[in-house]
Amino acid sequence: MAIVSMRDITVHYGKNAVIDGLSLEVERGENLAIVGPSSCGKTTLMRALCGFIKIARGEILLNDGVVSSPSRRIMVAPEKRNIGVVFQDYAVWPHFTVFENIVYPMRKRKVPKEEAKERALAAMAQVKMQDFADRLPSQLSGGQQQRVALARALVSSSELIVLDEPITNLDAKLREEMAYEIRNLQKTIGVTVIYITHDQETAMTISDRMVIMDKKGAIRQLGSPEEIWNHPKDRDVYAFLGVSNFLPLLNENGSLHLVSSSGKRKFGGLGADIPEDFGSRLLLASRPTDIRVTPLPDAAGGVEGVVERVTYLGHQFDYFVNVGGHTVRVQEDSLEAFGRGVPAEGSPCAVEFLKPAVYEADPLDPRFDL
Amino acid sequence: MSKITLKNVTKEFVTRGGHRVTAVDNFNLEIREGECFSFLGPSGCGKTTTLRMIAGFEDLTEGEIWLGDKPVSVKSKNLYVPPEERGLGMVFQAFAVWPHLNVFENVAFPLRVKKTPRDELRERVMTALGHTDLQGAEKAYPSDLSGGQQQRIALARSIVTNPRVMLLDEPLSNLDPKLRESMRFEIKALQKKFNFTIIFVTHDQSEAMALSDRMLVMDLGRIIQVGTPREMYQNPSNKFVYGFLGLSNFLKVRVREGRVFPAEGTVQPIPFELPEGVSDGEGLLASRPNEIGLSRTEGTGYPGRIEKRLYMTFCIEYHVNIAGQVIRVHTPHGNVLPEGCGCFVQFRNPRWYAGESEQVELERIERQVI
Amino acid sequence: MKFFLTSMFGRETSRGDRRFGLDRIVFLLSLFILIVTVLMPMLMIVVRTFFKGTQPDWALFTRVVMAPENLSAIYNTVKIGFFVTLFGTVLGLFYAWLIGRSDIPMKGLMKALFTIPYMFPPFFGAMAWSLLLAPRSGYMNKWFMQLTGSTSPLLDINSIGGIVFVETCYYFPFVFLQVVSALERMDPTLEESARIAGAGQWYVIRKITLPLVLPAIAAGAMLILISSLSHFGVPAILGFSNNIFTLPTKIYQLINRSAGSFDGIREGAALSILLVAVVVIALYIQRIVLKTGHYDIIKGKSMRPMLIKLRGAKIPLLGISLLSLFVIVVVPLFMIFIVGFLKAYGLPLTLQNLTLRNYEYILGQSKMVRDSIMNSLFLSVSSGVITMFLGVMIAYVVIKVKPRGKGFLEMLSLLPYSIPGLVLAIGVILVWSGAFGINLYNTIWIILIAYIARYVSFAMKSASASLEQVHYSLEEAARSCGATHLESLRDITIPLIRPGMIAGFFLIFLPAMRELTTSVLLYGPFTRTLGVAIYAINSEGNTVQASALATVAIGIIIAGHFALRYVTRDRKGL
Repeated sequence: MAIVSMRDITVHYGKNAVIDGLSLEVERGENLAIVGPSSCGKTTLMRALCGFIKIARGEILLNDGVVSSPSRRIMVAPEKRNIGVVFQDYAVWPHFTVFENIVYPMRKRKVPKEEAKERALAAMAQVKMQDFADRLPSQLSGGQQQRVALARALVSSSELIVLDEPITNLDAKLREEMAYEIRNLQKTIGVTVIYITHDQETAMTISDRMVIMDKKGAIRQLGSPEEIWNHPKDRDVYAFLGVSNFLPLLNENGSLHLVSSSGKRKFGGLGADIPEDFGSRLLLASRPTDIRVTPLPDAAGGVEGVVERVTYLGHQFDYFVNVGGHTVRVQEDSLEAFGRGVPAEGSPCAVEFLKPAVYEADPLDPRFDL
Repeated sequence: MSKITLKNVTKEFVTRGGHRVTAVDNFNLEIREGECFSFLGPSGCGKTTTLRMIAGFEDLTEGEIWLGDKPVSVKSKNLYVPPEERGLGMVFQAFAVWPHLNVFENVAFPLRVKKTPRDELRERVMTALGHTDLQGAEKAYPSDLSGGQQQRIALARSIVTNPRVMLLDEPLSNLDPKLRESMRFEIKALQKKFNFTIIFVTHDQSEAMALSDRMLVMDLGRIIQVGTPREMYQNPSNKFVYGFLGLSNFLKVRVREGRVFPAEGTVQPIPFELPEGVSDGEGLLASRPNEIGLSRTEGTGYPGRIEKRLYMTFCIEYHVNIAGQVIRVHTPHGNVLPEGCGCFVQFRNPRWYAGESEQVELERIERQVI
Repeated sequence: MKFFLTSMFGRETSRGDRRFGLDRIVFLLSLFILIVTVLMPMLMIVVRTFFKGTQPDWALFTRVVMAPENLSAIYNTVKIGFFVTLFGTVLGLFYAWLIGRSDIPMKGLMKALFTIPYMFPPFFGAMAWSLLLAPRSGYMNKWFMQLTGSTSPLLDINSIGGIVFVETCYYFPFVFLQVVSALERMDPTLEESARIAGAGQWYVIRKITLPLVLPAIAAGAMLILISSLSHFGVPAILGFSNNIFTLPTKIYQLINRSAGSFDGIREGAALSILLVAVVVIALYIQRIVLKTGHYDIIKGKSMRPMLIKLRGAKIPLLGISLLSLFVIVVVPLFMIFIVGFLKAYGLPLTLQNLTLRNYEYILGQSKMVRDSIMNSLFLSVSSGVITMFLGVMIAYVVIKVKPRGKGFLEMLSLLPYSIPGLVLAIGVILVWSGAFGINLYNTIWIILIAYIARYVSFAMKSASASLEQVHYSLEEAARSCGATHLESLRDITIPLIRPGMIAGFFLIFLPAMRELTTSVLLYGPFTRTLGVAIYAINSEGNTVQASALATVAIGIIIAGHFALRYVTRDRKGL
């Protein structure tokens, strides 16, 4: 049973529709990440769900009860929706102590004093803030304030928590810790979590399912992180998920040619099936880690290229390889690279694409103009 | 001659609380002509202070600094050459481009100070703008430009006088990650063209490794290690350097009769050849997440249990419990093991370090505040 | 009007959530108060100047503007304004540089002393300096004449030069504070990168530092100019005896001489329009100047800027600054203090000439003085409270509710900033002396209304500053925790801006306590304020009593500042 249903909702900001006809169901107990580039409307979605803004069309259901529906003139106030929210800037009240912050939602919901205290202490323990009960937020670090916000959300709803880009302001290490913690909490308590972020890495790390939104506020793909990573639906999703290489290929009656600066070059051994309905212009998509570069004389296959730049980063090598006028980025684990031999800058090499994907190219793709 | 020599350079500060802090402690170094040298360390380690002493913005408490064969700061002789007479180029973290001057005038400033004739000035400014990809922007004001372009102005301004030494004070940390990478290459390209000596201050290890010919790691005001990026990464001289140069696990272990056991729990030794001269006692076994093999086949490594599996973009991260301690393991996609199952861990390149006292960590935190 | 209102409130906020009727009530109420206290007085001045009854009448305005004595008043006003601005800017800039960029010692002490002129009304300074430098009776002139046997005084403070000097002493901190804060916020690497580029210290100051703080200098200089143009106290005390008039003192004289007759007030209104015109021109120039450069110089990691070593010049410069601070700050306060204990003005400053009688008189016997203290306390506290709440309401509407018409509300609330107090007083008289069936003339309420109008801009600015700190999400977090809109205001917003509100109260209470310009036109037989009482006693020639009363006022102001310091000392969490 879905805990949240959004049916064909449209949200306007001024005259522009930020979200236009979006539908989404969130399953009870799941950890759903909503990912998209900045200003794609994901925060708007969360604000509509929480009741901070009205929707122009469609309806939102919480626990099968309608909370927003302009056609039926229903707009349940935010305080009656029972959603725990963690805001991007934490929104921890600076004049309350940690304990007062966390106990506030229960005070508003008339939970008996003793019980409220107990639950607040438990929530503080869950986020490891029990030693800071009497501190003011100004005496806490960003990461700690975030924990307070999380604890406050946990006590204000045992069913649904929405986190809006909550960890983008933290440094990498804290961010990672926080991501683990959120995932842990969700698994142990069983609360439904909607997690909004523009960082696909965190989203993949913590979610059961993720929703990829595009700049126009529409859903591009929905699925488990594994599914989406292994089978991005289109080239935009592919590109959004991480560093990617696209090479233009021409399909001429089943034989593939790479469009290069020196004219067409035969391209053999794709290792991926090409759907029949694709036209003649294709894009080969590959991840830097799924490409193998071998110095030329020893090469067994692949296309020819020239290593333009070699950068040592400790745990890995970064190569920029020129393949027929296209720059291909390659990353190789440094232990493996040392084992196989690091190519020198300027030397010719063979480039093999290990797990490529194929997409139909945009008719105006400039990569074909070489 | 553009080598840089620092002899016994020491800098003491008195903090607001009246404490004496040795920001830089007996720093001895010779930077070779034409090399790119990085100062790497956490904030508060004294790297920026050292750079500012070389630039002439800070006085020395002791020691001397030579640019080429000219002394510029010699404490014992009370010799101090002001920054404007040291003939250096410098780029700052916050860009420090002058908002009241347009791009052309920003870049022309060093030449105007020197009263360069008009035609020559114009020619040199345009050349510098060309090298930094700013042609056509000379009439624009910095506030109309992006962060990356502003940093390019700063670069153009610093190369226009053709200095032999370039000081870069975290020049990339105010830029977004994508830009950071491309600016890195631009700096490198400029250096190749003009052949100046670079001192590059950063807290980002991948930046330091990607850019520098040689580098040093500083901690608590002292130089810990000097070497090429590869030497440093492959042979960190202590735990701090190991941890600073990449992701790391430190497994607490105990040595008994030349064999290594986890600090608590099992009686099974970890296969590892101790360096010479290690006597019985406690220590740390350091490993990198990507240098650990993971399998379910018995006999392929040390037994552990998978506690958590996280899907990330370019790898899968496992949290593996080994005798009560959790280490992180990164494996390529495809090798999927379920959470909760037993597994075998193979350290492919482990290192042994003595432990570090907690006092040191506290001191680091304290120095960051100052 | 009705159509206007419905079109303004017809639409809900674009942020969507329905906020009961509360937000709308707050909006309407604050708009109503502003229209009554600010807009109507201004309109009435225009109406009364250009209309006689219902007939348009330009004759009065042309006559007033063309009168030679008024023309000379305009000339004096502009001249004084120009020189005060010039000297004040130079002085402020010099000290700002000394404190912001040199290694001069005792910076903390100097910065504290520089804020003192801020606390006291300039007309105290005028009183003090005329105690010292009045041509015949001033102590310094007398000493000079005794010592040298000369028959002409050393300096005559009752001159344009004297007025310029006293106003400069009190207004230079405008530039000083603006520039010091700009220098402190400025990223030091902007100057350092110029050093690296080969520029020496002075070159950097000329080509980098000075241009970058130019907007701050311009802003401070304009504050000085506008303050000086509309200033009443100093030219009134120093100029009347020598027939030196400025526009504000001329307006005062016109109204005072006409003894409240309608024609006199109309003439005053016409002159007011002239004064406003001069101020508007100044403001216009400011906008043009500021437009040329508005840069963000606040970024980067905060580092200590490189201080310029004064070396040999350090001690002389320190001596000069301490001496000038002594002259500007300490001498006038000390003179007022000591003369307050004198048996009679003019007696030598020796121990046997000192007495407590003046204090006995002003605090014990004179009912007028006691009344004035009570009046001022009542007016300052009540206008402080009312205006502070009004400011919060307006700021709330402008920042949080954002209805259509918020721009109009904001404009109305900031309008009094640029209206001289004297002009405001005339407008208030025109509205509240029976024109609309309510006659408050000669009551304390008319002064209260004028104070509210005068200080609403302060209150609004200070409330906006603290309200802007309260991000939307803090209120929304409360909503999502189960609080209603009203509860989120009560539990979160109000407590968070409370320190700002208390500080805002004092920022009105303190200047109101010493206010002269507005009340001098509005007071009646029983509604003198402290400022008016001191001014009146002083102009009657009872210098010693005026000084004693001024000392009392100084005491109250200092106490108020300590209270302000106390409440703003620790802003919980914000």
